[in-house]
Amino acid sequence: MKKIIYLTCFLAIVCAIAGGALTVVNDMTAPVIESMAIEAEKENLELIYPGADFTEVENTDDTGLILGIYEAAGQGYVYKLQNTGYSSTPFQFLIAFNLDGTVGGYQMLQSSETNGFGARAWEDEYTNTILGLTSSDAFPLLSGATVTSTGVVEAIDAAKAHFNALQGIEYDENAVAEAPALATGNPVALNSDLADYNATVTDEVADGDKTTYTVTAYGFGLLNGQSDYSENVFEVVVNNTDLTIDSIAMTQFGDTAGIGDKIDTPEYFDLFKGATIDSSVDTVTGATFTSNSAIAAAQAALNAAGGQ
Amino acid sequence: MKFTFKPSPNYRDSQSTQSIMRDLTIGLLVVFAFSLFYYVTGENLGVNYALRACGLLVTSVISAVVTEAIYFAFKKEPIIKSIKGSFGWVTAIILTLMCPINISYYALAISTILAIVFGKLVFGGFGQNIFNPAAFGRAIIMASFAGSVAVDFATSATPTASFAASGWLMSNETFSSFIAQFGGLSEMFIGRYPGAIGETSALVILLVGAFLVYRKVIDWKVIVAYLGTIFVSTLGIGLVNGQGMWYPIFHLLTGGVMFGAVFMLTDPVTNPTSSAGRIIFGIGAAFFTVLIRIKGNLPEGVLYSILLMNMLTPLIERLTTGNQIKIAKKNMRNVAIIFVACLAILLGVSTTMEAKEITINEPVEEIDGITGTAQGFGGEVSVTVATDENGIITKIVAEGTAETPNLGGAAISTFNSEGFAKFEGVALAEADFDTLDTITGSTVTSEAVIEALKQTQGGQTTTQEVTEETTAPTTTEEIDGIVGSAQGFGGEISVTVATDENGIITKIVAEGANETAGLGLDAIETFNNEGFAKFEGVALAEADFDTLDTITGSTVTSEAVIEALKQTQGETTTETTAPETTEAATEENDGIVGTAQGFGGEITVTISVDENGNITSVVAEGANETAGLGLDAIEKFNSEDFTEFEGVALAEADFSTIDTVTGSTVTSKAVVEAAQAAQSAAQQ
Amino acid sequence: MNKNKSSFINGLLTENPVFGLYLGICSTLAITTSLNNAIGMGVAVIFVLTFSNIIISAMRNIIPNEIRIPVYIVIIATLVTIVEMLIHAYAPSLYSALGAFISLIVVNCIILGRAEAFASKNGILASAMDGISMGIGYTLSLLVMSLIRQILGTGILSFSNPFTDATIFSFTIIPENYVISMFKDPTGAFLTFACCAAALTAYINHKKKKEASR
Repeated sequence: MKKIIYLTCFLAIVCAIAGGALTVVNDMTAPVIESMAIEAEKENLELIYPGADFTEVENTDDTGLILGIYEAAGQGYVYKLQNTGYSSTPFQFLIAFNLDGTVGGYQMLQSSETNGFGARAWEDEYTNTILGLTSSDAFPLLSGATVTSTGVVEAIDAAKAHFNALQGIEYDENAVAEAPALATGNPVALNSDLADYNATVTDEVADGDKTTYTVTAYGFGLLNGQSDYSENVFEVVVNNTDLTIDSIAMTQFGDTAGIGDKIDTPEYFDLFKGATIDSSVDTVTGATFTSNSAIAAAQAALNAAGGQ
Repeated sequence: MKFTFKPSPNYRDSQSTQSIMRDLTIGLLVVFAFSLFYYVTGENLGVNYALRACGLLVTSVISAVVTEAIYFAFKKEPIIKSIKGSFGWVTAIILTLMCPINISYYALAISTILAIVFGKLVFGGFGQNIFNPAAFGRAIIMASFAGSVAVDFATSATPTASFAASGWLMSNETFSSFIAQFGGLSEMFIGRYPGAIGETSALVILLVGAFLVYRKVIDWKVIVAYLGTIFVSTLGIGLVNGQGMWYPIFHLLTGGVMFGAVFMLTDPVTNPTSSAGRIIFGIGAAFFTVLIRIKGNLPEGVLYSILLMNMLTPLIERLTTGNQIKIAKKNMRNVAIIFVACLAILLGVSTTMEAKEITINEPVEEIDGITGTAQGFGGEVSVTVATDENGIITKIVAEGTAETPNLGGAAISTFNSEGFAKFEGVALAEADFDTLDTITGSTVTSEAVIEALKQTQGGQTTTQEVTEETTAPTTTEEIDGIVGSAQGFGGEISVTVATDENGIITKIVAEGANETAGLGLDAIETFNNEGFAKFEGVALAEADFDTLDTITGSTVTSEAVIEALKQTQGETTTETTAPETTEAATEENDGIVGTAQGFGGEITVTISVDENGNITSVVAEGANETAGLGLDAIEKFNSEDFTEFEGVALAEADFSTIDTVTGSTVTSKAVVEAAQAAQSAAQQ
Repeated sequence: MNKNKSSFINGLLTENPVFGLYLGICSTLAITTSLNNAIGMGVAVIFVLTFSNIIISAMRNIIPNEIRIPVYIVIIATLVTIVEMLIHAYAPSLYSALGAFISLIVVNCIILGRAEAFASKNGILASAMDGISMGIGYTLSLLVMSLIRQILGTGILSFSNPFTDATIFSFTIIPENYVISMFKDPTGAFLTFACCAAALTAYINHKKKKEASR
């Protein structure tokens, strides 16, 4: 019995001395190590808070997406994040939250995402959206760059979690941002002169109260006499009882990709629901002609239904 | 553990080791002769290739023999006799036949030496080695010398590599056009397609194999077990994944399967001694070959399967050792179990296979023009730039048949169909080919294309060049001009813009001594050497410095440079004789006004003329247009497009030549209309 | 003195811990890709080996026999952690080059082996000398392996100051196109190790033969 106590005490003393020695050395070296880490990052951190006094904050993240957390004294916190998007090489970026919770900065460090698609996650349009949010908001995805922006948002969510916990801000973890609203404006009356669009009903299928009209219409290209464009084809369903549009969908797109096809969203076509020949429907900003093409198709369908 | 080691062959026979090896050597040389024939007669090849093949063979044989000579001299054994009994040249020939034609002499020599020393001699010489020395040598090449290739022997992508790039799956239709590139399965059987020197002709190899089996030099059981298992398993995999009958045949014909079966798996030194053992050996090798191919995403399944099975030979020996007649039943049972197990695993794994998109290298059009070449990823990349009589680029076509189909080849296709479009209509001498959008994942190929494009510029002299040197010195010069400055990353950045008497930029020099070495400083150097070149010859007032290519990682420095550049524009009023167009507020001018309905409201265009009726300025205004779209378009017209009309007689000005801005069509058209309205108003 | 001298030479050659006694092979194979790594690791091991030998030898009479192994391990581990922290702070490029292998010095058989076989039975000075000689022997082995692997695998012989990353010298011995890059990889490590071990064994056998024939 005595032996065991003796052995245990001996071991404990050895460990205590060892621990003491380690503490001494640690105190000596830890600040050096820390400042080295920050030096390495400083150039990047200064992109957001130039000239600030940075200290590294303990990374308690277990998602593996936060590479480093840095506090800019008196200003906010910068998170260095990494995730994979479309490319097999992960991308790295910084996001900073000011002390008041607003986004203080959003900066790409490295990315091999595809130009014109994932790379848009760091272009002005999306960057401006992000800069306008706060740490309690849900960050939206970027249409046309879903894979990349999903990775970005996931990483930002990890940063938000840490920041909000640190600052004691309550927020809804599971909130999902709505898809960015389609910018529309400039209402066009369904009974206006859209003859130029040459909307022609090519097929009619009656089904009880509703009739589905297949309508072809000129879009931007054909309106301007350019031969390498083709017609847009729409399917318009009209309620025969009250001559309103029940639904409209685009089955063939002949205009400029990336521009005219912006109208091809349920959100836009919803605007047509319930429209009569006397209603007006907005056009999509930046895709006026293609929108008009859809409106002309709706007009043609309503006219055909009304027997005019 | 009892460990008995029996060097093979270990039974008395009418044959001697000498005669076996002699027949083997003859067989190998027949295969080699066929490949020489292919090189001499094949398209795009020629006698050069045949000579190189011979040169490689000689190199390898000499390396092997000399190495063995040194070894035997060191061990103080009679040299000539020992070399004759060591058959090093067989290893050398097999290794050479496994290599591609463009391997460098050095790589082959070193690998042969290492293969002989570490693959054979350290184990005790001929008959004592565990691993097939040629396979070992080939593995060394793959590990160390993958990039060590002779540049002037272009190889096209081999069918194995291309197929592997598509994940070893391909739809039946894609396959027909894919295989047509190589002449169809029949040509693949005969062996007239690109591949390793000796591995391509299944026909010749099988004939030689049959001969060797007849002469009892090699054991047919290994060959049948190996090829049979590959056939059955790939048939199953093909069926599971919806491939046609061509699938198992393709597997058999590619990647050195035939060659490995006849010449390497049958090596009696490294395979088991009993028949059942050899069958298991063949089945196991087939298993690994197929598994590595479909899941390892390597084309070289055969090589590693041979080495792996060599390693397992002692185990197989233990399993099948004993009086062969007595344990025949046990042997058959074991063989069956192993066969079924391997098949099951392969079929199971094959359900996780996914086809990858593969773009077949399309044949490119032939055009006349200036050619430039550069070394791409797999071989040479060439571009042809066709220009009209004014030196304006009309078309660019790139070609790189040796690039990997899915990556470099796809990049080249993209360039040909879209990427080069931005250079059409640009003067060749001024084209900045660095702005070609490189494709992710094909950096080497993309950069080779850019390199080749720049070559075509090499002989051109620009007509409007000022007598400045074309390569900027690395130390920043002192030049006179307008100075702008801005705060950079580490300190102040200044730019000096030198202009001629017409306000055209002749040279820009930036300086920022306090920027970070390696980042900002390098960025400034890049600007000085290349980045500013695009502004030379442009009127300072019209230069859009925002288009300066910023350098990644030196954003602060880059933006400070742009800032400083913009500053220099603010002071140009006194320098230029042409009337300026300010960027922000539109000036109030007296002149003829025309209006038209824009997108959000009215658009007015004011045209001022001098006493001769020549346009002095055109200014558009449309405050109700959409920010970011119409407003930006108006700004563009004011700063760029309208300047073309200055000095032109109003009556003759054709405003319809103004390009509409994408996304702001309505605004653009309204501006044109308004200008035309002003024009007609003036004529009344 | 003679005894010390011959045991010192023993540690370098016939009882060379890496090629003669086959201890500490794991880190040898992994890190000997450059001179910097070899010297860095070698110095770390010399430090740990010497001080652990000294401390254990000093305490050899008071450490109870039953718990001697845990005590040795605590001492060795503490020393290794101190070394690791120092390297991390003052020679960061060495730290990232050696990586986890610094921590693995704890389980390097050489250290525990010498503690058990020598330091626990001999005086402080003798133990220190043994530690130094074993450490130097280890370092020399690393140097030999690194020399071969670096020259054959990268063609360049170079050394830089681990504290400041300034290059002290750099010679390109084999032009880049002619390097055998296999030697940078584990494959080359095994081959080089085998050759060096074989060479040492041949030398030892040769010496034995000479002594037997005397």
